[in-house]
Amino acid sequence: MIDAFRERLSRNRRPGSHITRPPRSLRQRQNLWAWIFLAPALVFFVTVLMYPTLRAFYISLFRWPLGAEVKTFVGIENYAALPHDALFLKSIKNTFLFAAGFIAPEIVLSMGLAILLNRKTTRLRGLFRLAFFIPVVSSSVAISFVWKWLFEPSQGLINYLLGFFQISPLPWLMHPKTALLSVIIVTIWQTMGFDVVIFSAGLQTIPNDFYDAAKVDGANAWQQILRITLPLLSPTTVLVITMDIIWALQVFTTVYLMTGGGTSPPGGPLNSTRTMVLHIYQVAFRSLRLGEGAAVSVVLFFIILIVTIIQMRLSRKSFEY
Amino acid sequence: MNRNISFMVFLVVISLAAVLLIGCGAEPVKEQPVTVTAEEQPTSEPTVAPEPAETEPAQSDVVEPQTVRYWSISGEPYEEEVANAFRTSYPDINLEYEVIAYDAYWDKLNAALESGVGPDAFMLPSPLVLEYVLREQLAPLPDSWVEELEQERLTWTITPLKIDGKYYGFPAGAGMRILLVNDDLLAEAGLEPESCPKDWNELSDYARKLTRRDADGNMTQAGLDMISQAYHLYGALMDQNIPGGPLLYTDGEIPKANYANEDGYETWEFINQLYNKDRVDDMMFIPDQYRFQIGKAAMMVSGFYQVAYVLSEEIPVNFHICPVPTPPDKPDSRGGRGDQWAYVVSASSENIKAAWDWVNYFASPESEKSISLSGYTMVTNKSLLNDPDLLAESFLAAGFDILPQIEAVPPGGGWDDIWYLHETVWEHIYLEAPEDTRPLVDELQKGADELYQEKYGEYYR
Repeated sequence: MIDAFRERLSRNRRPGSHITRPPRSLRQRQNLWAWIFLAPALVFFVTVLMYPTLRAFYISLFRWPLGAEVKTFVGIENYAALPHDALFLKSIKNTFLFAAGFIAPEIVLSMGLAILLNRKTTRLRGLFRLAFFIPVVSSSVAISFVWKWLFEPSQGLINYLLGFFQISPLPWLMHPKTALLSVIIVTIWQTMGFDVVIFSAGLQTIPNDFYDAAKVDGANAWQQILRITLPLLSPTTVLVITMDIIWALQVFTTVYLMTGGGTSPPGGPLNSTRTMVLHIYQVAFRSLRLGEGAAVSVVLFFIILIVTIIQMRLSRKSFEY
Repeated sequence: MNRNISFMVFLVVISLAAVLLIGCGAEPVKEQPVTVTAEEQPTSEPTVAPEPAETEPAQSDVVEPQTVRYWSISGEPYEEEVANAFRTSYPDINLEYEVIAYDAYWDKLNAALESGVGPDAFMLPSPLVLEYVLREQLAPLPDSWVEELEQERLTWTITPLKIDGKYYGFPAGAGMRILLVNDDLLAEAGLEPESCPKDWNELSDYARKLTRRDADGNMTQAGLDMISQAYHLYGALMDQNIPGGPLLYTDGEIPKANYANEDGYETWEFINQLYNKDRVDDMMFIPDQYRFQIGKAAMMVSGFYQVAYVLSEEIPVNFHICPVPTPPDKPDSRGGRGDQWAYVVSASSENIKAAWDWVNYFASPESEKSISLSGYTMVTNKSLLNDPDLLAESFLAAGFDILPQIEAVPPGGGWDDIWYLHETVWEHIYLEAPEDTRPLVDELQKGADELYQEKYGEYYR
């Protein structure tokens, strides 16, 4: 049947076939409408995303003192200098440390919470979902300042609570060994609610029949999670991990506000929290070397691009149901 | 059908036009613009209203009012009073006085200058003037005003503004560093009331005696606040102890860093000793607060402006002002170096003359006196050094004692970029308690030389 249809279709496409193509004017009109409807998004994409991206690449080829009239073309000099820039290397290291320290606990916690909140036996699910999502919609600025006070070494709430467990006060944001960890804790707290929502949506797509069948087969709750939930949630997990990686590579506001202040440079102490975007900001807007800042931003763009390509490849893989 | 299509095409065109307009209409966002209408202008005589400069054309010749946008980081009420007085004296200049929060100042200023929508006049730290001049971003002071400037102002306040024989701004008050001492805590420690530590040894001695800890060894009172504004402390000590200061400048040459010498090593070693051996402060002790202002630190090295902040506290501490103690073998260095901002005019301003009129007015003796009395800042006009109204204010009088002993800070020192390098040494000291600070100072020297090469190298090739 299908073969017959294909044959008829291919015959109809031969030159001189009695079935004609749609009238040109209709196709043209369809194309026109397609472009008209696409145009706003296209204009937005080109002006707000494409142009700045290309412009950043263009600027990265210049010695570009921010605000000055004279810009000097230097080719790839800004890129060639990056491997010798200790602060740039430090910022890459910090960014990947941050991503590693942030993503694993973020995924485990948000997935666990989503599974708990997805259980029909859990009471006040709506309230908990709301509570976990509030930090997501809260101002990063306000969150950063509040947590900065919580981490305050001598009068902060966290050290006060640690005192009940006979734990000596920690310097948190004041020490290179704990500063990045402090930022990671805040970031997990702030963004976890979003991942919980995504995981919850993923959990809704898993048919209950699987769990019912597993129960009949004698699987306990833990086995159900391991054998059903986790495998079937893997497309969602890939998505969440990718989004978190991209987010982690672009972290700025929390670091800038929590580690800096009028009397200490952001990214400290001893550049232990200097991330790539913070480095871009410092170089471009504080040291006024826009060309070098743009070069770092292009590098970051390609890192994110690679991560996205990997994610697309992974998400194309079929998952066994 | 055709009518529907036409209508939808019309809608799409409109939406596209809106998107384009939004994208292209990059009007600068003004922060807290203060524009005063005729009705709002003060009806009484302004407190300050110097005559327009003689070099100006007759104001009546100008038909269209010229707009001068001025960006300030201060935002104190007295500045607005001066701005209102200027508007009264210069009705044909439309002054737009805008306050930009310091945290956003550099981003907004440099981005605005880059995109050609920057202010006509703005504030700049004196050490940054050289960089902006070399980048051709500042207009030089009219030649006819130079003689007056040199005669009327304290020399050290205008030295950093003179580049290659031309001046590029007016000093925004006389910035200087002082030691603030809490009288009540001094008395509690059994030290002589209203006394001042004279040299570094006495400073160390005072700070130790003024430090308090509880039974567990936790700090409850810092003898000397080193954490809140470390840059003032190490800045003052380096200025005093390093001959020529930490920056050497010659017109037409790349500035040279001057840290890695015996005096530089000694300075940082003294800071190391204060923090790690004398233990007069602790990074774990309410580090995010100005401890002196709330009575939790007995002494603090800061800028003179700090006086106004301390006095504005709800419960102001009882304190007095001292010169920053000198190195034992350099008693003549008690003033240190100036640390002030400047009022400058953008080279790309379309109303440069009007902008200079405003800057000249803002820095005039009358305005300076008004600002000084309201904000406890020091003056740069020599004519005000013996002003009875200013001398009647005890805090200002104490500042006047120190004022003539200050040396000029040379041009080209940088701002945040050099501060980051200084902070790195300081962070190593309070985090790692190094046995020897020389390697850190050597690293600072290397970093600063590279920085100055990077900043100025292409201009002085």
